[in-house]
Parts: sequence; C-alpha cells; structure tokens
Amino acid sequence: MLRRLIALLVALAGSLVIVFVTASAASADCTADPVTGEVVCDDEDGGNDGGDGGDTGGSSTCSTSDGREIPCTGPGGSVWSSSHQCWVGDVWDPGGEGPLPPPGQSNEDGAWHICYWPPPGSSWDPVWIQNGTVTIDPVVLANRAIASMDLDPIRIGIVPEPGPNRIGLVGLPVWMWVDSPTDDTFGPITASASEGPVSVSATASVSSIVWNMGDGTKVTCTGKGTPYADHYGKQDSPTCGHRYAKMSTDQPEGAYQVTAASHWVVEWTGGGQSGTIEFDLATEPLPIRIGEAQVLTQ
Amino acid sequence: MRKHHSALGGVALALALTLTGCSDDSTDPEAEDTPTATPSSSPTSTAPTPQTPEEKAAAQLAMYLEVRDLAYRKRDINFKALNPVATGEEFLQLQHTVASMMNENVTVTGEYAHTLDAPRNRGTSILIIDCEDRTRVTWKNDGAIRQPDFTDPNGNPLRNPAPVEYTLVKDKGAWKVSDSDLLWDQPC
Repeated sequence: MLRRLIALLVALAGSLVIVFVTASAASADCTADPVTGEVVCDDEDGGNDGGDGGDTGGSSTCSTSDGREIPCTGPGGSVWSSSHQCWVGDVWDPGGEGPLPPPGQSNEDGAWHICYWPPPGSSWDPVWIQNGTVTIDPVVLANRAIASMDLDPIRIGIVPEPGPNRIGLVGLPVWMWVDSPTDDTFGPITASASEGPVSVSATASVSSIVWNMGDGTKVTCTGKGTPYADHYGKQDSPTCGHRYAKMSTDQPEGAYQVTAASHWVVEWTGGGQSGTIEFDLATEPLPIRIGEAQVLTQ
Repeated sequence: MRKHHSALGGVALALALTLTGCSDDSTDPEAEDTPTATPSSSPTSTAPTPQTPEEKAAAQLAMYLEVRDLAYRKRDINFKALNPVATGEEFLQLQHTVASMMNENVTVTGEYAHTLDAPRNRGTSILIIDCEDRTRVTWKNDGAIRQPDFTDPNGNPLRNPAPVEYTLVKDKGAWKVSDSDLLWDQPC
C-alpha cells in the first residue's frame, strides 16, 4: 500500500518522533462505526478537488524500534510515538474518575491517551502524554495548507473555440493552452499551516496537464501551452496540440467533450519532515465541434 | 454465496458453527475446548485438522472472529489470542473499535453467527466472505438500545445478515486476517 519512500530521519523533542515520509493510497474498505452505527467507506483514490478542504491524500511512514516501517498515522488519526512504540490516540476516557496521573504529574500537566499497538500487541494500557507534545502528523498539516490554497482547475484555452457558431476541421491543428493562468490554477503558490509547535509550509505547482480530447486521445503537455493567434495560420502548436481524425457529428450533442486535468505537485516541509503530495484537478467538459470542409461547403 | 458442501466447506462450516453461540463472556476463547450451546455435530475439537492453505486460512478467520466478538463484548482485547490470528489494518481496527466503545460507552451483548464462504486463494492473500448474522446481537449507546443498530451509507438500516469480506495474508508462517470490507450493498 505504501508507494514511495521520500525522506529523512528526524528526532523531535518530546515523546513523539516521526521518521520517514511517503505518499500512500487509501483502500476502499467499508466498515461499521461502532459508536454511530454508520457504515463508512474509505475514499478509493484519496483524491481532492482542491476546493473543499478535504483530505488530499498522502501519509508518512515511521519506523519501529526493530526497524519495521509503519504508517505514522494510526487508527482514528492517532500518531506514532517512538518512545511508546504505539500510536497515541484520543484521550482515554473510560468513564468514572478515570486513572490517576502518574507520580509527579497532575491533570493539568497532561492526560492518559489510548495507545494503539502495531501487531503483535502486548497490552492494552493507556499512555501518559504531557501537554505540548506533538500529536499531529505533519502530513495532516500539509493537507490543511493545500486546502487553504483553494486550488482550481485551469481555464481552458483552445482553438477551435467552443460555441454554437464555431467549428473546427478534421485534420487541422488544434491548439490547447492554459487561459489566463493564476497562482491557484497553475501555481506556484505557497501556504502554511500549524498546530501547536508544528508548522508546515507547502508549495504547489502544476507539473503537467492531461488533455482528454473526447475522441479517445489523451495529450499530455508539460507547460501552459501556447495561445493561438491568427498569424500562426495552419501551423501546429509548438507546445500543446492535437488533430482530430473524424468529425464530431456522431458524438453526444455533436461535439467532442474536451477536459483538462492539471496534475498538481505539492512539495512540503515542516515538523522535521518533508514530502510530496500529488493530485489532479479536472475541468468541466468543453464541447468542441469538428466537421469536414467538403461537408461544410455543400 | 456457496454453502459448505465441499471438504473445505465442511471445515469452514464446522468452524462457523462453533462460532454460533458458543462463547461465554466470562471466559477467554483459548480456554474453551468444547462448545456446548450449539447442537452441532462438529465442534472445534473434532473438526478435521486444516491442511490446505485455504483450510488453514478459514480456521484462522474463525478463530479471529471468536477473538473479535469476545473483545466486543468484554471491551477488552486479549492480545495473546489476537496476535496469532490478526495483523495489519484489521489488527488496528479492532483496537480502535474497542477503544471507541470504551470512550463512548457503547456495549454489545449477544452472539454473532458467522457462516464462512469458500476461501478464494489469490496467491499472496486469501479472501473469505463471512455472512454475519446480528439477529442475536444488541448494540447499546449509553445503555439505550441502538435502533437500527447500523445504517448503510444511504442511511437505510444495514441488512442482516450482511457479508463481510476478509483478507488474510501470510505472516510469520501463518495466515492472519489483515483487512475486512463490509459489503453492505450485497446480500449474503
């Protein structure tokens, strides 16, 4: 399930130490929440539309004392603690007065937390976590930073243009480009997020755009493309183009439905870690009508 | 779902039957040698010894379900019993479930009934669907019976029985339950 190992060994002050960083893919399993009774299913692609502040995917990998790699984030958003060798979760609240603080500590100094064990487990005891200790995965903060960027799909620039009175010709060049690129449609854009002592800075940029031309062809362009101008005539786009081989008359609404999916790459650093999060943002379909000159002149 | 007519199915059925009403909340699963509550002619102690990977996986899943169900009822985990039969996400999920039940005062009483389908060997993993029957199970939040006990993603009462697909992987020489997927939109 873990796809990529990226970064570094860092020891953080306090009881939590997070070690390596990776990206991960979520499973699509459904489980029944024991508390609410609701069946919830994981998001299969772990993707993000960039505008809802949701999870953009990505995770980190920590190491156990015997060298095994495990996710830094455990059940219920718990965070791996190298000192306790378990994921530290919510405050342990079994009802009643609860367990007393350890000697020398008070309830103002910290709290007992649930300790989730990686297999094989050995006990079922809560752990005492002092206030101010890092209890958040920097990847979570990186995702928050990305959400705050409010990223959007690109605005499609294309010739032939869409519209009821516009039509391109079979075999002639189609030019595609990013129309009026901005920080939040093409990058680079930087944002940060913090919680407690941990702060993460993330910089996002579009690395490529996959143009789905609606005729079964996908064109990948690594830059913004070149805006068409009349003086280019029938030249091919020097950076991002296509040629349709068939008319669009047999397509729904008589037009090819063109979309552009921008591939965002976010480099982030903070909390003693660094990593990369990648995701796609796609445009709504844009209808492009293609005909043949001999048909149009009849 | 295919019933247990094969030799392997017989093993799974025997194991499934032993999981039906055979557990005592006050007793650890490893202390139970002879089921008494089920009129089954194939209790655990006389079931054929699993030989094939599929049989071994089915036996391991049956053991896991017994450990899991007891953990639900006791809101405690017997790691000595859990370690040999579970790993990965399932191992963690059970801890999270039990911890959440403790923190939110959720309790379970009664007995699940499990019927295991024929294992499907995928090489590095074996998939087994358990038809889980909650007829005799009651979930309570803060002492009040939860009605319905579970709801599907559409907000409708979760069907009963409901199929759960378990994934078992080889870990230190033994097949262990590593993941589960509640197939809420499919009948058993």
